[in-house]
Amino acid sequence: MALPKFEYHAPIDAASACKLLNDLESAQLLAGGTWVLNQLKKTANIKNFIGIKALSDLKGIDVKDGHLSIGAAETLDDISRNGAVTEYAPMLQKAINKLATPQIRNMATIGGNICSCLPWADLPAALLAMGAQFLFLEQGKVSCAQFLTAPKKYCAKDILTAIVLPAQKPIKYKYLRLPLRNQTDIPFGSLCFNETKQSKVLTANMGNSYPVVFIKTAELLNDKNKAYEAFVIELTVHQKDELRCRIMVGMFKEFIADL
Amino acid sequence: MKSCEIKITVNGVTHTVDVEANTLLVSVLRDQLNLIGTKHACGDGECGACTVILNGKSILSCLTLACECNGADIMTIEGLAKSEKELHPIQQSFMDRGAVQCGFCTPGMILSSKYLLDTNPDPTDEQIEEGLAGNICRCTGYVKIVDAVKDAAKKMREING
Repeated sequence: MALPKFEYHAPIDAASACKLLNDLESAQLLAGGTWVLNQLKKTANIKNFIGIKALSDLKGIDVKDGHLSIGAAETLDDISRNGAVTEYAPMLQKAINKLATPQIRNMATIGGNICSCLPWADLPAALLAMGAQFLFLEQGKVSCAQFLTAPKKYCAKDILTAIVLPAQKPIKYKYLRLPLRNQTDIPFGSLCFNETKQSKVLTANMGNSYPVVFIKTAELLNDKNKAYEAFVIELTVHQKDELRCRIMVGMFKEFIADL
Repeated sequence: MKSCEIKITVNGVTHTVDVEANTLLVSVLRDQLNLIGTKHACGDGECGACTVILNGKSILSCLTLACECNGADIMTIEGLAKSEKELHPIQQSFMDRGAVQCGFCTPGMILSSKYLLDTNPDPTDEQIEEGLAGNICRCTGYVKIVDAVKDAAKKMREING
């Protein structure tokens, strides 16, 4: 299917991309394009695309001052093959490897996965469990938890430049994506657990709602029955599909059993 | 810009082509360069028939703007075999193992296999299935395709020592 007509802009850095985003009518950032171009073929009406995939100031995976920083335009495949990610963010690596297909992972960027603000995005729940912060060009650092309260607001006229994670090796981590069939299915939920010396966090993405809604820490995890009850209450609010609810409840019980 | 000139190297040959901002890479390959081995099927990035290798990575040419490919090195199915007389080991294995039926998905399937074997020369069955998860075949049922990739991996390991 052919794409409708639009103008393409190739800024030289993130600052000029941000200016274009604010100045141009009906403008859209274009990174990996795996979601945006698809939407353009179907419903979206975009007059101006701003290509940011190649911008060097949105690239790089570095460990510095106790933090792991991942450029927003890094592709998912490059992130999952990075040694520092393997060391400090193995759950992110696992979540990426369960996501979509090899071709999509070679094209899609982590910034796109976050800023597309889709309820079924795979990564926000994992990033939340790892205590991620999002670095925006104009708004500065925004915690993942804060971002998830109004993702579209943060992304509307600003550029996500990097994702910053504490560079702490996890003591334990666990990631489960539902449905269990890998890759090609759109997920209807995920469960993530990350334990470091400083924290113990369980998050869930319940699919039908965005942001991720279930965050409980160590105290609740000590009482598994309470955690289970709290999960069921949250789930019934956010997931209306009865079958999916039943599957997620069963998976949750199994998931927390050995935490 | 509404249109631009790009320089791309496809199967070792450099081409300069004029493209509109909304031109997709698959259209350049098929319509301008006449490399019709790359298929345009679902257009949604789901079937993998349009897979090509761009700068060493398998990508979907139906979701790639041509204007973003300036300077890129691209391999299509036409560039895989060393010569017209000698198929690439993956192509040969697909033939030997009966992994081709209607053949529509085969170019994408083979290029995804190449990317998989470039990054993992000795994959397990599960890794082959994951590596080909982005390519849909409606004829074979995948068993023979997985067999072919295993066979090709073995041949390529022997060749590469």
